[in-house]
Amino acid sequence: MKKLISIVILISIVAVSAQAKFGMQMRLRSEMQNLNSTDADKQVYERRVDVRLRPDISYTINDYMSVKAVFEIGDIQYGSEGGARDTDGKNLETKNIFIDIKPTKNHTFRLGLMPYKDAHSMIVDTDLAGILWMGQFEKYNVEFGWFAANDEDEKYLSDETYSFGTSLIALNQMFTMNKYIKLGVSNLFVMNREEYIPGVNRDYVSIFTAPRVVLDFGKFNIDGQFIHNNNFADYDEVEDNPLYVNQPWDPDKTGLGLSVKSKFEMDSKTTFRANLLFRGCYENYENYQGYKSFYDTGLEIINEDANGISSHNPMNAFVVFYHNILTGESYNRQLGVVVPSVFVDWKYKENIIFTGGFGFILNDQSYDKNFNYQLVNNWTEVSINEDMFIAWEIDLKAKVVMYENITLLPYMAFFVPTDNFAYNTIYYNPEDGSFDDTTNFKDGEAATDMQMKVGATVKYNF
Amino acid sequence: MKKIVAFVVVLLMAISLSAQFKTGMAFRTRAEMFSMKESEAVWRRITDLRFNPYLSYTQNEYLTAKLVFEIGDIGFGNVAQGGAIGTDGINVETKNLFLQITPNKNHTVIVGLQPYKDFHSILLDTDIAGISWKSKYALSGKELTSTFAWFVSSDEDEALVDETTYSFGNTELVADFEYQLNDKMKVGVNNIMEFVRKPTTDVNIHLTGLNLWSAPYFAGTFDKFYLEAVLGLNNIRPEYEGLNDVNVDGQYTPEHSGILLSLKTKYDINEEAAARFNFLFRDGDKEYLGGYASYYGIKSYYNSGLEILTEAGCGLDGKDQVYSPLTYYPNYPSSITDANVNVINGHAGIILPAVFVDYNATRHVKNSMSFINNLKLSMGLGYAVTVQEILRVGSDGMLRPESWIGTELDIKAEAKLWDELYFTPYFAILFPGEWYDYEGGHDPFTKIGLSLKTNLK
Repeated sequence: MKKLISIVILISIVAVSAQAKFGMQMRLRSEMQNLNSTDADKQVYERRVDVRLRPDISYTINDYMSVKAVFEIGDIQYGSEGGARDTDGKNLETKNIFIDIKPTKNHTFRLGLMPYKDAHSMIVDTDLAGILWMGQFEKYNVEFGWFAANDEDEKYLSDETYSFGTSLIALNQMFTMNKYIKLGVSNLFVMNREEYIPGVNRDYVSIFTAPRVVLDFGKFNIDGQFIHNNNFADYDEVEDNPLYVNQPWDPDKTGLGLSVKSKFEMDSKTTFRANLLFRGCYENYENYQGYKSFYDTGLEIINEDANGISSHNPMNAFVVFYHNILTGESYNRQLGVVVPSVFVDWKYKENIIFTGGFGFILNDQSYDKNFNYQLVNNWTEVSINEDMFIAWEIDLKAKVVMYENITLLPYMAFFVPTDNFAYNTIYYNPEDGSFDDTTNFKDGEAATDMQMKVGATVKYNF
Repeated sequence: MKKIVAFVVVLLMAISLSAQFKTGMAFRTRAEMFSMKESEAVWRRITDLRFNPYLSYTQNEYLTAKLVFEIGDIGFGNVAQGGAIGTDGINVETKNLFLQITPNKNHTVIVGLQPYKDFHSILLDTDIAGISWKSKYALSGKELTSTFAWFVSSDEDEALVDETTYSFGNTELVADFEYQLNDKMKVGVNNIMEFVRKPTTDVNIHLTGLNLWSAPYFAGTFDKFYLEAVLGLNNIRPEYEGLNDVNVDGQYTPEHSGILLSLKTKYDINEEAAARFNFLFRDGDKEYLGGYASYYGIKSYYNSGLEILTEAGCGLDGKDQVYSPLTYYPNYPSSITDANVNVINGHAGIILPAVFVDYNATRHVKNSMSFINNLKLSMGLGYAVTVQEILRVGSDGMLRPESWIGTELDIKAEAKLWDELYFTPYFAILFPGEWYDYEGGHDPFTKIGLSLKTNLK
């Protein structure tokens, strides 16, 4: 009886302390790579080490209310950005901070800065401010939210108030048909208003519809998400502006995306995986673009969400810089891509898994890639290779779990491009908008040398 | 027996540890749509969040440290505030950080960044760095409380001028007293003395000042009637000091004084209904070359009880503020550059009576909505005029002396959900008086919104 009372008292104390929970995620990445080299004869191997901490506090006041805050310190790059000599960087950011209100155990209302994503992170995977309802029913789960992605304030124009910025309406649904099959659909409505010119607003609506099927047959499972995206722009002349004559060329766009991830557990040690990413459509300016994707192909270089630091992002990096001599207009032409990949995971020990991966990337169709290119002061049409194949990649990596909470991820990845890759990525730098006409194209030859990266990532959950 | 002893030791350690270290968090979110601009009826929409996590650590009965952070206000979609897509704003601020020393139960010394406020928040209601000493004494059998403090509200470094070092900035000395007359009445006074030194455009001329605030107050309960009254007085004494034999005769900022009266009352009609009457008077000045003679605080945060004509309402106070009762108000039309148009600076003053009716409607909702523990409905009506008639210019260019600011009507509900969640929807409309509506047809100033607050302990 005494023991029982003691246990009850002890549990009470633990329960009190359980109200407030502290934790922290740490990530340390170290990498050497030459993915940014633009000259086949002058390959530059860049080295970088960075560290990121995410301390979190969650606080439960009662069955109905809890608060969680996640901060982010970093990424602190060794030698710069608060990681240089003397350190002392102002690098504590608020990543998430939200309150959960649970009127019943099956329904939660979340309010604040929260993470939000679709199942495959092809549409949106980011942190947003808003309100989200998460409901659980017998075989049906639903998330419905409103988010303010960007608020550019209001203006009073022609006796009316116009709000500028971006709002999102999100709906995720999942229905469990039986123990083998789940069906779902994600919807995201993006509504944006900006001032095109004074007195003329541009209203832009983007609608994502993504049906999903999950099949789980024990050793074999497959998860597929198809995405249809429509984009509409409309110009609203709210005040007379003599500069505005006609709506500019801003056509409706449609994009299609597909993500399939499958896994087959051959035995207790060996697992095969096969993934497929497709994004594209009919026209070369209408390829699928996520709203704020963070897609993981499983590879280390052709990926948006890799373990390492640098990568070639298949969701937006494979573009052609285009300049029209007649209109003077310059822009990035998005190209559709297909990324199939296969992997073998071998469990050497309970805490050590080796993985070999192979994948390639190609355009979804043969694009007309002729474009106008400036040679010194003269614009010349350059005809480039119209191959669909862009590159292939081979990876070797491991996952080692030490002391239960430390995960070590060493990796080595090789990327073998074709001429097609050089024209797609090396010429134009989308980060700073610059393009280099002094290296790749001065002799008409592309940088086709193999690229590689080698590194290790350490993750620790406190 | 050993097990029991071991358990007791562990238990005592656990309790002592948990008692030493306390955490909590205050949370507030507000969503408001408001049209408050005088020039145009633009309806702004803002949703924001604020979190105040805090930690306190009690070393022993003499020593406690407390740390309060503030994350926010984070406006939804606001890039600068870290509320836009991707978040990751650098918005964690240190609100309070102080060490509390309690040599005995009657004396408390606080060193660091600490909150301070006077009785009605008409002098200073903010967080400020300094040292404060709060004491309790027995006087004729009743408790006398005193607070002495030294605060540094602004430090703008030192300069060597005239072969002497001068410090620039503002320093405040506080002397507050409160005496409990009996169980139902108390009197007190808040006093602040502020020392100012500022550089001017001439390096050899400094603006120095000795500014005084004094605010005696009274609070009493008389059966069903409760009353709070504060009289605020300030005396601003700016002087120009010439260094290196520089003549300051051409400098002009006169000494000036101001007065304010704040009255807050409540009458309990029955167990469910109450009536309140608040009154604010703040003097004004429209004299040529001056207009200084009006009361203002160092950093006031006055709550008139209304939602628009206030400094501390439920909503987004300060955003497009149409007429703030206490803060500086330029009492001349900015389009007028003619120096002959009376007032250059200062405040027109305000007379603001407001009545409220509160009704506790908990019993009507308790059965159908058990999660509502308390529900109070309020209606308020306020009427504001300036103390001085000020020349206001219309779109026709005509100048007219006006004083009627407007009439405000508020409807508000305050619900306590579960134990600690406070939900307050409100609607407020200010029908503009001739001050704004000299030609008629001006849209009313309106705000509609809700706030959600909780304090997690």
